[in-house]
Amino acid sequence: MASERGGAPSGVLCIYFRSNTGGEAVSDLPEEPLLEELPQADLERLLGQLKEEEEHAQRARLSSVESLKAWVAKHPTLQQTTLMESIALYGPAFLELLRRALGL
Amino acid sequence: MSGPKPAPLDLIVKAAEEEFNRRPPTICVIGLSGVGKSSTINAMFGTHKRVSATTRGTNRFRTDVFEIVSQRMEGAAIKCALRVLDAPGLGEDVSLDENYLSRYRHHLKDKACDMVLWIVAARNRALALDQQYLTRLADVLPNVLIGINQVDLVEPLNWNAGINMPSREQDKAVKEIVEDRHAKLSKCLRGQCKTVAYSALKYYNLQSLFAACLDVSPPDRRWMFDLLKSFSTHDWLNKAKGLSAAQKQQLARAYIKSDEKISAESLPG
Repeated sequence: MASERGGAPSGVLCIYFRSNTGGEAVSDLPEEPLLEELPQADLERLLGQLKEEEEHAQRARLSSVESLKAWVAKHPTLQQTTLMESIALYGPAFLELLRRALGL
Repeated sequence: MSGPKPAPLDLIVKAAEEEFNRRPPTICVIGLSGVGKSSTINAMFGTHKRVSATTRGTNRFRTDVFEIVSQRMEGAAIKCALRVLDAPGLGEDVSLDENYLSRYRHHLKDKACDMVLWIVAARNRALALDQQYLTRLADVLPNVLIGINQVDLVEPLNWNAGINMPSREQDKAVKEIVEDRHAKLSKCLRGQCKTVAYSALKYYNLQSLFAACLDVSPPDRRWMFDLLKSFSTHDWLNKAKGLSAAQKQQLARAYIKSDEKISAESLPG
């Protein structure tokens, strides 16, 4: 059963997000009801998994940045450039730039 | 005294292209027939949808080279290759397996692989063949990652499709499976190994698998796999059937940061 805005069936957790906050989740705003049909236990597991997937994704991305630095440091031509500083400065954004430049 | 000259982007693009051509990132994927080797590679690298593949070798031991053609706005398109070594029929016929194992050994001995991903199916309790083959290849295996695929098919087969996750019962069973398979397979190896449970079909825990893949590959080669990675946390979330499109968007906005589009201003000039 779909709940009306501002009310939730018992045993169901409503989470609301403040719009345009850049990702900060808050639980007390009566706007944009989210996941209102989802049992609280499921919601907790979903959010837990979501965070876990993202932690691994971030870890992989940072590992790749370090990897790119290691490759540049060994490359006969690139090691003589300022690329290391650029990669260190921009981090994952540099990898994204390279991906775009390669058209991948 | 003059410092190093600034590097134009073209320089690293050209060098990256040369590196992909010189020695494509290479995965050796090993596992008995039907464990989902191809679906795992497809899920991680999109090799079923955006590539042209050339296959060398017999039809039952393959060296697939997936050429992922770039879509550059300027300049000629670049072909970035991913190489996958695979014996799709391993375990179907013991007399043929001898040949597959010697082919794997040959490639592994030459250190032609950046990573080895050994895949078993979560439901499969019969590990004798895997143990036997792992033991026989142990001396040429570098750091190996054990992937336990198809966790969505674990008993009692009640995958929670609403949130695209194992049910609580399956979750408990998966934990026991990971412990059991890790103990039984890692003892066949000479070094440490990591074990990750996932579902390629559901994109569940695929980020964990990918991160673990990078961990076992050479430190100066990981970036190449990252550039070819073709999935994101969105793919997992989008398969949650109990969520509306708007709900998924809200969740993604709040929590998925790893593949956010980077604004032009934040990119180096």
